[in-house]
Amino acid sequence: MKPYLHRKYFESQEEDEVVIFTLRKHPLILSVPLIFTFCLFLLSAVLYFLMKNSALELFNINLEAFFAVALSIAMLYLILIGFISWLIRYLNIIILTNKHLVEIEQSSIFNRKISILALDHIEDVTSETKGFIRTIFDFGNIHIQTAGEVKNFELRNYKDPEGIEKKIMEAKEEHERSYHPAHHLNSKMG
Amino acid sequence: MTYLLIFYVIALAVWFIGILIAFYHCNKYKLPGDKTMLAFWSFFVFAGAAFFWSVTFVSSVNWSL
Repeated sequence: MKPYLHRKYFESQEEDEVVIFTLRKHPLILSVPLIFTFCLFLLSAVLYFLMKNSALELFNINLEAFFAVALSIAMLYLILIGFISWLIRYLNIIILTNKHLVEIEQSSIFNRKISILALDHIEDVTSETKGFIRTIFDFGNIHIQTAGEVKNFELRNYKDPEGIEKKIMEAKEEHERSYHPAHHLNSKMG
Repeated sequence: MTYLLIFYVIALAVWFIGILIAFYHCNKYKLPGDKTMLAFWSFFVFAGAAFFWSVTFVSSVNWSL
């Protein structure tokens, strides 16, 4: 993968820090809000035609304007909520650099958390693909065990978890070779 | 019916604020070389078309009780 030089991906990115890859959630996970929105879209259109006619027949009053406003507001808000729900998932990113692993978690529109883990602190990386859908579409979770009191990382629903696991371990080894050559040699021999 | 019209205008104003919030997030949190802004402008065109459809649709119905 082509590394991007001299472009800041996160606030604390150092000058000589090279981004190896950035990754977002699996497209299937991203498309869930859009599918849900589309279904609600159809449902509100069907409800509009059913209720508009029945109100005229049952109560003999014209509620056409009321239902038209309700339908158009529902449609506009569904589009907006659908996009914002997609955006919240889309803004969940992992960035692997030659020094750090950065996890950006966007849990709601005004709730964002950025966790930065130095590659030095990574002890072990395991990937997990569990269930029929995840196996078919090749996505799953990656667990990163960290050294000391640093909180463990859990990256959920990313594409090709085994590939990510491999790349993280390669980056960690490369980092050890470049910054701690003696330590790397000892750990290989031990 | 006046209240309904006022409700419609307020709902549209809040909807516009939602569009601005989406723009703010896309613009602030985009990464170099990614497609976040492209996604926003695609959404914006779709949302704009939906807005014009909404105004045309609401004004085309019979507002008398």
